[in-house]
Amino acid sequence: MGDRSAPGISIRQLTKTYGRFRALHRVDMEVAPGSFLALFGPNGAGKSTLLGVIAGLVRPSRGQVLLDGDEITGDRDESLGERIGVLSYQTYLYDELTVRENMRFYGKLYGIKNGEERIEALLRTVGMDARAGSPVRTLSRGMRQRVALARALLHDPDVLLLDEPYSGLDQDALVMLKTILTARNKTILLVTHDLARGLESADRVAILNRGRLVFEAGTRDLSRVDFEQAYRDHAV
Amino acid sequence: MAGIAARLRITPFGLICLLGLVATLYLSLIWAPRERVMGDVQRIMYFHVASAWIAEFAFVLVGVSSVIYLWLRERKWDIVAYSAAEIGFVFCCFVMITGPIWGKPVWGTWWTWDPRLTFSMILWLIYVAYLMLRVYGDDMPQVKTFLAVLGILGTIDIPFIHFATMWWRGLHPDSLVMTEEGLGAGMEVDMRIALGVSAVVFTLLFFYLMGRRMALERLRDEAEDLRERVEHRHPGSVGV
Amino acid sequence: MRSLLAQSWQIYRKDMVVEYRTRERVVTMFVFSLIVVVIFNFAFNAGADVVQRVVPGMIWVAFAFAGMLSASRSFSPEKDRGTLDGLLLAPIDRGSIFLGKLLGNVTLIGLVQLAMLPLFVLFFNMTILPHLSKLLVIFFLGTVGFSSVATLFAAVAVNTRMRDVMLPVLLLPVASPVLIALVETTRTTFEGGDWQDMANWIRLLSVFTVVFLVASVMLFEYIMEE
Repeated sequence: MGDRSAPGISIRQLTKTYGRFRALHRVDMEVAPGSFLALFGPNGAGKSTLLGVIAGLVRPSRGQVLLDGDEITGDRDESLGERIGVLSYQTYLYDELTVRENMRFYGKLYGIKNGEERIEALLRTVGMDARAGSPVRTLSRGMRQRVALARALLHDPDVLLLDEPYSGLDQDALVMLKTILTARNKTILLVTHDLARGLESADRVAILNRGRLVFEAGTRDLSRVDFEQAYRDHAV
Repeated sequence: MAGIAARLRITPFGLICLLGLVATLYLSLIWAPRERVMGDVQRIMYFHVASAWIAEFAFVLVGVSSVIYLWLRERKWDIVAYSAAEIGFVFCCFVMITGPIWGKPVWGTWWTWDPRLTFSMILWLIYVAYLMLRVYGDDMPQVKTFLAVLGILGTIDIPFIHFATMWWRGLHPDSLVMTEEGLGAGMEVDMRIALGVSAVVFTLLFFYLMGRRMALERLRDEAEDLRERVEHRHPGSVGV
Repeated sequence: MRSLLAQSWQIYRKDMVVEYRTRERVVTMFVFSLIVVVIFNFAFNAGADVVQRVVPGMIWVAFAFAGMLSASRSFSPEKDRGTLDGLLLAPIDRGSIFLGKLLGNVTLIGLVQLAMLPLFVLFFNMTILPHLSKLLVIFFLGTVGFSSVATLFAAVAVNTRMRDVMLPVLLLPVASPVLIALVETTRTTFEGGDWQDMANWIRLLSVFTVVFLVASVMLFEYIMEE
């Protein structure tokens, strides 16, 4: 699992229509192996749909997504799930189960070897080991998000898809998330409304508007003011 | 004649269907002999049975095109399924209407849970479910997939419904006037010819209507596409 | 195949743990069945003379509705809380989600049936014990067959706006052969009939169950993708 290197993602002419609504329109994008791309755009711009396509949840109407040159948008390949981890504002956790039970359940689904040790280690990393026996229903929003982070990393994915991951995280957790994200051995795609935070951690930024890719740039020479201007120009 | 046909946009195929319908009316209402027991009311059988055939045939078409749709994911197969379902539903309604009209004088009651009628009733309900899902699921991304699944399961179900309704009544001997055995037994050759012509003409009519309905759906797609393009260039300029 | 079953088992076990802690579904299903029986009793004023004819139908109306409740609730919380996506992201055969849910539905309906049978004996003065083995076979076949279609259509209906209305509209016409077969076999059994008297029905039930189970596992994958 972990010995695989982070893959590059190629998105080619990706189009997704929902009945009359065109969520994505001919999006072309390259995400270099091991890089961190932050994706911005107003509500309904198609950001989450794009992540959904890469995660294998959404079938594109046209176009392809390639992971290290292999198409992943054709017939579903079960093993895709092993390479991709998703952290979203939805935690994918069951309220009635304890933190540990949730982790064990997903550990079984992902076929994790020596799952117990890995689960305990991850829960320590996200600072939730003390609450491992508590039902998720009794946790605060921020605590759930920490567990969700541990859940997303459980199978040590090469690709991390983050959809508004900051929601509910407190300062400690944000620092922790950042540490994990900067330990670059993963290709990361981040969708957020938080321009400052996205710009700060990413190598590249892109703006989607009305299903089209309207702006793309590296963050090295991009000042925050310039980027905010670009966002106003392209997305508002 | 040709001018009128052109103005009404009647294709040669449509014209054939029209003439066929006239012929069917003549054969079934005038030419075919009067049935001895049931009298003239039996003549509705020529339309009832032909419609029942189309209703069933159309649903099998829904099922087959649904399989192809799930396989190829091409919109045109969804259009075939949708059109067949709508037209099949109309014919199925016709079955449900003509059944009681025929039944009242013959059985002395509008409705009886005879196996054929019960079968048609269940088929009609599956059509209703299909069209309801189509209409109420309009805003769902996966509605076409769901419809295809329903179309496939509905088609697989047809033999089961057939046997279930047959055996269900079989356990309680009732009049079997409308079963196939009942039909064939009392039918003279002329009646069979009239029924045969009716069935062929209804089949042609079905395909004619299919062509029109599918063309309509394609036009809708095209209009939607244009609307989308205009909307994209001039946001807010097209009212919804 | 082994991993399909192993994954199904994980999902089933998870669902049953959740159900054991809340007991939401099984309690509502039981109360619901009970209410159906009471209402039917009023509707038909079921005296001893009509009981034999009416009760088999009543039993299956009650269980069909309880089954729909179970199937619907097997997907709606997953959908509403977003955990369904969590399952879909996992590297598993999605057929296992279907099988896990189906197994859960069969278990819960079976529990409700076990709880209801003594009440039928009590309310309608019926003799069940001599027919028990036949009834078990019929109930098992019928419950698996009905639940296969119910689970699949529940997965469809959960995505629609009017999910509570759509499930019966989609499910009941398609499941009607099973329901007819179940009522007929149950009645024949109560009337003291033998296997030979319902051979056709048992065959129909078995074939329906196998065909729709296989079709549902295959079609579920399509339903789950957006």
